[in-house]
Amino acid sequence: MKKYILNTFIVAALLSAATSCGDNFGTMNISPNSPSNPNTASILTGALRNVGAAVTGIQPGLYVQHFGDVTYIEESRYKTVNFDYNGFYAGPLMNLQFIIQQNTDAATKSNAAATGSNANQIAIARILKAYFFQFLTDRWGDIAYSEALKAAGDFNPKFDKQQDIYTDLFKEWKEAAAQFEGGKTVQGDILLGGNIARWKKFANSLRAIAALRLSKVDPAKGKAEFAAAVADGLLASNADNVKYGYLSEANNEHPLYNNYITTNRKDFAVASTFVDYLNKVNDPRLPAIADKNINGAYRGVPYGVFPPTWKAQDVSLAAATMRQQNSPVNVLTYAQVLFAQAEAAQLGWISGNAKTLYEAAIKASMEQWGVYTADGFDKYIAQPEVAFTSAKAIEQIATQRWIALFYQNSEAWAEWRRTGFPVLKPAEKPLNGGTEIPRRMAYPTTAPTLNKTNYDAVVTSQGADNQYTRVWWDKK
Amino acid sequence: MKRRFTLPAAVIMLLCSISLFAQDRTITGKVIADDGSLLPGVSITVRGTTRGATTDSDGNYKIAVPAGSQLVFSFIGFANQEVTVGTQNVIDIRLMPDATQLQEVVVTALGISRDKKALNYSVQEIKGDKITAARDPNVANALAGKIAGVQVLGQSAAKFGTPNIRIRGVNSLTGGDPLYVVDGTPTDISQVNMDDVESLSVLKGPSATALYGNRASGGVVVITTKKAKSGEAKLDINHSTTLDMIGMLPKYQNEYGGGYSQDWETFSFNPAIHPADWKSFDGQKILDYSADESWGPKIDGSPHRSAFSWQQGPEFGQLTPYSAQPNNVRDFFNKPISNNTNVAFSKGGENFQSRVSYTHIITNGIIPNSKQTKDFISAKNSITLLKNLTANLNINYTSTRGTNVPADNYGSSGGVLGGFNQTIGSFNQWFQRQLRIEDLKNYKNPDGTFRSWNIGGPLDPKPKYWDSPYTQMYESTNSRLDTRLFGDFGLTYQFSKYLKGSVIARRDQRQYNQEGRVAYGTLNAGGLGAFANYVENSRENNYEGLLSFDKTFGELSVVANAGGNIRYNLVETFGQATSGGLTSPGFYNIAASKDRPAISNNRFERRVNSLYGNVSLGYKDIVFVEASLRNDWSSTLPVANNSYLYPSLSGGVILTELLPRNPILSYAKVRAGYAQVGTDVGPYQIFQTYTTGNAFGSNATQYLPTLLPNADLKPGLSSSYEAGLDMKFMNNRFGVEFTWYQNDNKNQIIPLPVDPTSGYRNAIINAGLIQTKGLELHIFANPVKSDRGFNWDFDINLDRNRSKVIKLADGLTNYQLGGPTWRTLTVNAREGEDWGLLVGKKIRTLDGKRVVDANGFYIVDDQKSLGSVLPTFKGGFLNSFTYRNLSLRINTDFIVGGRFFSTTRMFNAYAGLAAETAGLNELGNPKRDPVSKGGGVLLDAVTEDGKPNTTRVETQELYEDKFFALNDQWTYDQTYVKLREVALGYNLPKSLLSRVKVKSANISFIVRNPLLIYSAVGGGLDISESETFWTEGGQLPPVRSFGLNLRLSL
Repeated sequence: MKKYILNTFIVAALLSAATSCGDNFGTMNISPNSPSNPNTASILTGALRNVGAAVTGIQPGLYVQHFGDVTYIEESRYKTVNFDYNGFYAGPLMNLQFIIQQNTDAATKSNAAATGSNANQIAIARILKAYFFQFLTDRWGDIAYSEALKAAGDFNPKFDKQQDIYTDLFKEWKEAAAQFEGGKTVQGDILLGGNIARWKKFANSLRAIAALRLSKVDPAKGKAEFAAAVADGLLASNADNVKYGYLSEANNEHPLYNNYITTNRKDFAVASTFVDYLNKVNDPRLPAIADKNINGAYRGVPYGVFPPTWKAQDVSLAAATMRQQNSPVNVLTYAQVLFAQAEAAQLGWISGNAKTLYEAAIKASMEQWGVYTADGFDKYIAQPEVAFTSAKAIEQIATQRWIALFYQNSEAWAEWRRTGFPVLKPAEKPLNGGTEIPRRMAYPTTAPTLNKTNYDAVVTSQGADNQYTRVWWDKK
Repeated sequence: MKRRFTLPAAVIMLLCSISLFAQDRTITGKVIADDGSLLPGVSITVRGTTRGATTDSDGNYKIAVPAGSQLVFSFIGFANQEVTVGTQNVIDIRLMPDATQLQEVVVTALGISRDKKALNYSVQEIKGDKITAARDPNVANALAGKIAGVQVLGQSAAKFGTPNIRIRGVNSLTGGDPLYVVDGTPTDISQVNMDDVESLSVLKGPSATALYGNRASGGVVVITTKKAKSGEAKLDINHSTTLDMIGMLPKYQNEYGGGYSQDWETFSFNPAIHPADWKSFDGQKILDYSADESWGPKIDGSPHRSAFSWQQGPEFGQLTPYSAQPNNVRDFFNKPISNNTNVAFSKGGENFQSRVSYTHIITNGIIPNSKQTKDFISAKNSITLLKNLTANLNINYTSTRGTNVPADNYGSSGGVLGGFNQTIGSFNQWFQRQLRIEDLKNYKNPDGTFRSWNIGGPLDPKPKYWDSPYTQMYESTNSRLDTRLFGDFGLTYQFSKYLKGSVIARRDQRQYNQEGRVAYGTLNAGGLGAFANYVENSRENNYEGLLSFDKTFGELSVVANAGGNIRYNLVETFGQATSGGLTSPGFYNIAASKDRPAISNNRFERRVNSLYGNVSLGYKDIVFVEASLRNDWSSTLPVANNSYLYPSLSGGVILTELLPRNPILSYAKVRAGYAQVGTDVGPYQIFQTYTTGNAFGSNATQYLPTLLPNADLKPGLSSSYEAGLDMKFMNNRFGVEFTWYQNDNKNQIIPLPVDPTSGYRNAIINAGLIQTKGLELHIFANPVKSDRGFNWDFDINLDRNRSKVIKLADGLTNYQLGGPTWRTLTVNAREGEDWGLLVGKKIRTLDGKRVVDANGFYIVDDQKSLGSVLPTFKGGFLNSFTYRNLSLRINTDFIVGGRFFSTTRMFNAYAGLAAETAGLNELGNPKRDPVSKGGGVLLDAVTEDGKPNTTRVETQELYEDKFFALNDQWTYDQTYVKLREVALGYNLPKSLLSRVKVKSANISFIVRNPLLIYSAVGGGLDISESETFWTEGGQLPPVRSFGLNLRLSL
């Protein structure tokens, strides 16, 4: 009897094992750890968090000598050649692309509309996507664009020509700005609070500045796009400035606060080149931009000099007022828009008065840095170095823009490359194999290792993958 | 005590033993082995009769026989002895081992013991005493060099961690861990109590592991623990005490101290910023205290202000001599005493066996205030009722408590939870050579602020890049407690002599708690303090049923098994960390988080159901054929593809059975096999989900994952071909086992890195075909065996393994296995090329000579091959010498070839710490003098036109600017030869022991890690302890242990 029971038990156990084999395990393979349904508002917030990073990435700020290294005199000597854009593709770009898709597909658009009208979400995502793509192409030149972000649809995207990318960016900004409608306000917009009017101005201003990038390589197109953008309405005051605001908490703190205070590293200080120039023109913005050193003097960190003979205490760090834990950073400002118009006027692209626009731009910049006084401004622009001279207008505009763009690192570098002003002396003993200031970033290592055919093709068409091959708009 | 019988054999003999007949004479006696140990279970038969007896647990026997009869003493592994009964009443016997008779029983899949000659695949087994000689508590270290085809991915014992092993090649970056099965229960390598290990079998290829199915693709380590034997009652005590110390350190320079420039700075008093009483300091020599490098002034003994002279306490304002401290790093490390104690009780009767064991291991770290305590408790019980129903209960409890387990790797990397690397990441990478370790010991100021050698400057005495290493170890502490309970409960029913069935429930359950602190005012977490904790609960259940049939029909033997298994895994994790600092310094709790704390919880669940069976046929002990079939159903695969069936087939012929017996070739077998193994994937890799991130204020964030899931995933299928030849010579005194294998991994599921411009960094795909080929050779010999008791045995293991990507996926040809690290270094598996190709910045060569540019620096090309990481071959050489009561074991292992990158070497030089960065150049001038004064370094190279290089370069510029991230410069051969273990033992003589009722006693002198005989990388690095197969990441130094071990059997 006992034997029988045991036999039955064994057989039953084996049978139960066997019969349970064919089932589908129910919902066991559905992750309880991450949502299966997306929330496009949260995805937008996630993507927007990268705007701060795009603006404040320090490297181009070192190239244009706004900043210099304090201890490790490496990046100001162009140590890094290959830079990584992967975080933008497999990050905000893909997420923005996803927002567009969720708001487009018939199956998902009604759900997505819970956090803002489909059209408005798409418009914001398109503007931002174009913003990030411009940021990338300005740095790397030809990049994956038309075949990018297709996931399994294309693991080997080709590199598009910058010219083609720019053409598409104008279209994207234009169409996106026109796409806004009066529907539900987009949620999760930590940049402009879903304000349609501000988004339109942002998109148009991006277009204008992008149009000016073509001043040397394709002035005809630049002129047309610029005029169209101006007509659509640019930022009209400092109140319109697009700023990315950090928060008083560790996960979203200002990068310089993090570097100076949280980690106590103090890796970067304001460069001697910049401090010296501001001192030279008695610029009232200096105290808003730089701190005094331990001896109470404004002293920029000697730029690109190795080995260092100073310590952090001996040089001017970026001003405490601009790098509180929750200080904002400028994404696109009224001053930039005015400088762009001043240059466009000087180039004859638009009808305005270059001098007036130039001075308005300086005023806007001083206001933006909180140091404007009517008296100080008048004295400032009366100085021979600053006073508008038509013959030197492009250089003056570029130089003043260089000041105004402090800590808008990538934009400052792009404008410097385009105009060549102010004339900067390269670091001593560069570490990247060259002798000049870099004009491009080399592709990340993943390009040759994971997308070799297309990488080889772009090297053939664009030129060597180094820091001296110029991007398309950067024409000599 | 040494026993050379196997348990099943003993049991069989017990069953066969026959009760005594009443007879005319009673003979008693004792049977011992050649080494003096007692032999229980020896069979004694009376020739020509069916009478017999067996020895009891003390080796005593009693038998009644007619006068003049012949007694035959036989025991597995020993030569039979015959004695004619004369007039004596007491006959003591000493049995001598018989190599020719030795039947090798090995444990195979599902714990089934098989005669090794019946197996058609490579299985290498080692007995417990061979792996515990030096009492290394880690299985992996203890296995180094002992099994052909096993590679240890080690780590410094200073971290108390558990090294991993790879079987048949490191051909997977993430996975590849073998399955560890202890008495049938799958568990983790860290849960193996070496003192409980009876034997350990390594099942290498799919033929051997077929019955383990989809999780055995990395091979299986089958561990059988000790159990009580029938008729024995014994208490074993095994204790070792070791003195641990640092094994080796890089060679440092002692000529230059901290700073970036050799020019002295002097203190310049400025009344506007300095206190008035600092006026007297004006003009004193000061260093750049913020520098964490040693390119500073030449060490000349002159009075200077150390960093500590600007911090509170009696040293403030003091001038101290600027002097060399050659032993400063060495002096940091402790020389602690560690203890490892095991007590085991075992008793067995006819129908029960019970063994309980307790092990307590206290390992005190060489890094101050670090410690690990480990307890193992196990009980192994077996009760047989009604003759044929056996109940088994095995329970193992393990508790591992780590206190301040140090972090290593690059710089001050680490985290709140596991601590920051403030020790070796500083000493070998970012340090000043003139620092006195006594000064670092005083790490805290009277007012509670922290001191450091690395401060902002005289007016800014806050830690800059580094705390004192003691701050990390005594204030920013961490702890971890890992408790685990695993075992099984099973019933086995013997239906008949040939058929048995069993049902077993197994569980492995773990609770892991970890917490870490960052003290307020120390370097990390913004100086605001931090706290984090992490809890993981996991369990694995296995329910299995097995029917086993074993019968010989005439000349045909049949062994067959059929069974099923349900596996369920659950992992739950909870993690919390403060953010933005602690609101109340010293209060380490999540409630003290200044900002919204980071909190996460996760749950992972999976199930695999399986049915399997195998049949082995043997004809006349000459031909063996085996086949198996298994089907798995995995919850983690897409429903359409979640069932997968895979077979295995193997055959072997014992050639010596076909040959006439001869004195040269004692045994020869050829074998070949084919097997498939299916594999699944981890949970939740099929469907798209979205990642939640840190909120931005009140706005939640969400992201697409960067790993692209794959709803069409198929199970991976690995096909393996294996062939081998086993031979023994000269009465089995010499032997070789040779195996060739090839694995065709088809549809292997990998998280393939893809160009992130596609929007994803990785995609889960079924890779086309990855092929692995290898050779394994095991040579064993007993070259010396003298009548006077001297014996020498050795084992040599050698293996070579090569993997190749034949086909990856459409349009994709490169599987980037790792990197980029140090800017440009990656390790790759490229279609058509060897797996593990290092690619990065390479120094250009011309006819084998390195090429320099006009400035005298190397010309460097990017994206060049730096060689494969796979060793040319590797292996071990194990020696065992015995002379009467003395024994000596010497174990060495080695690797030849295979490239790796050394982070330690690079930064040791970068920061001016390495000996190579100082000293004299070939002109006899200090290298660090400027080139203009005859200093500098002349690189051994040619110019682009092939002429010898004559351009000297500045030393600091060379190491800091040019050699940093120059991957080629810091890439080396892994080649090493390591003397890993030495154990000199002495068995105390019986005569001494019998009076104190001790069955056996052994005392040994043990050494672990005594000597790195040869190392290609040099520089004080032990690459045998590398955690990854392609980089040395800045590791803690090896630990060398000397000690005594005492083994007692009562």
